[in-house]
Amino acid sequence: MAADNPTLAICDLGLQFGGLRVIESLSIDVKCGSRTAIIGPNGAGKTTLFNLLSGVYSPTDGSILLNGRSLENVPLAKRVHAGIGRTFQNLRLMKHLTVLENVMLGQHHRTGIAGTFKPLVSRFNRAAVDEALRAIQLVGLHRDADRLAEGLSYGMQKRVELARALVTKPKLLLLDEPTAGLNTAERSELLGALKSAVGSDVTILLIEHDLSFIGGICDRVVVLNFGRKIAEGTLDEVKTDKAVIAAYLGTGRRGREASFAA
Amino acid sequence: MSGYLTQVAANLLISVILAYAAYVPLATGQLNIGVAGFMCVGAYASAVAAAVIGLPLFLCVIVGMLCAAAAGLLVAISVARMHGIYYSLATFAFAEVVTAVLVNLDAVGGARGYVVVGYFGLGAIAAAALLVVAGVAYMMSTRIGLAFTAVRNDERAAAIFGVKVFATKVQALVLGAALAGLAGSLYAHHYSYIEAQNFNFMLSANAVLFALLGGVQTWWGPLLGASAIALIPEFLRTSGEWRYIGFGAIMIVLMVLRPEGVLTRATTRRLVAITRRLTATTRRFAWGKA
Repeated sequence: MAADNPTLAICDLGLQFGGLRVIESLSIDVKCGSRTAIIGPNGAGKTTLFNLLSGVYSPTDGSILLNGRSLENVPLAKRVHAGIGRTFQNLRLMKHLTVLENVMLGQHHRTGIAGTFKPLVSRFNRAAVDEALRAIQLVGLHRDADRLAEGLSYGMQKRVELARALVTKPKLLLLDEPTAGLNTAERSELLGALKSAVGSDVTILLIEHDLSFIGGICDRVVVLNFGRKIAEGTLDEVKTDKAVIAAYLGTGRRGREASFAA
Repeated sequence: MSGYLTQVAANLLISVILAYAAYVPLATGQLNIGVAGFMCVGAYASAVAAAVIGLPLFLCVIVGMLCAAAAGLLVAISVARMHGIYYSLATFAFAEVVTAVLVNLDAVGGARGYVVVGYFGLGAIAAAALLVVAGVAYMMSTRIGLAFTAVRNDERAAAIFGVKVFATKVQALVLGAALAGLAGSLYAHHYSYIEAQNFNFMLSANAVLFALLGGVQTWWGPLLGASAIALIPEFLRTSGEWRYIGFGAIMIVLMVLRPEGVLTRATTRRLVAITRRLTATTRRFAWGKA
């Protein structure tokens, strides 16, 4: 792992909806195996950046290179083949499928013709079922594999999303606010699941608001505001960065007095 | 079996096939309200293959299915990127065009209808219905079914996990059209006479109702929906015209109480669990007695 060449190279990226520039001249290099957090106030363009990386939107300017390969002409359904797996800020599980079936959707792009015609959850498809069950076990849901997703708590559904992203065998894992809506216990469970389940060869890009969660897993933080990068560095560095404090807290007297450390 | 019962059974079995013709596209979220159009193509193609070319009946059915599937492919390529009401209107328009063309086509009898040679008895229709139910049930248990469900639930999320959404929707509509063609072919060779006007919007609406009322979350749903809608009016026959009011009332109550269809995935699992518990209790009781 950890070759000096970046896994992900975002270069002068721009996205414009009509007259509104949502992402502007954004350049980020993410090294192989690193864990990078993307933070910023609401509307900073964090999820939009993930949507650009996963192919939901096409950039109006700039380029995205994954392992040296441009993603420009790679359509949405092919990004997962390129090694991009993701979770969503708002849960996008198939509610009336079981946990196992939801996770097995993550294997879809790797299934050949023979696998397509086998009954999904059966002894004829044992290798795929076992692989999905291992991912479910890694996120601590092995007792719930046969339950319908609609009957799970929010925190458990978040973990199903993580397991589904993991079975895509990603090179780049995009986690969009994985702790949103979780209580403290669920956050620490998720942190544990992430540390144990994600190999060091997988690069993680994480959108998160919980700084203690970021401190527990990420080695670098990139801060966005109005679609632009305003700071980059370790968590401690960005917490004391004036531009970051101004973006979050404003530039008035209270903003100058307050800080993330407080 | 009496003539009346034979007709009720034939009607029920053809309805079951038609229910799956509507269900397969619905499983990917496509509300095809032109099912009758594809059935009409299958019926006429099969009838012409029997009368003009003189093909064996089995091959006539294949011809009917293939022609309906080809029509399905043409429609699917044009409309599969549409959504909601625009998609449904396009499939409705297709069915209307098919009917209008055949009513004015003298080569197949025009408005007078077309006498069909070759006869399918109840056994053949039952075998076809059984094959359709088993085939769709198997397909829905595979990755194809998973892809269909994913596309119905969330097209974007499905695509992010590598499902080719457009191709999946095209496959579903073509397969649904082929099943409607099969229903049309069996109908033509059972009733021995077809009229394009009979393949109207009411028939499409019924097919969609079979699937929606039964529920599209499981492959059981359309079977239950078609059986209920085909049989309830027959059970209520003694009440004369009132039966339609009773039937309508049952429909409204079900739609209010079960908007996702009678059989959802959760309901099916609960029913299976209850059946298992009952079986276990019965066994224990039987052993205790012995």
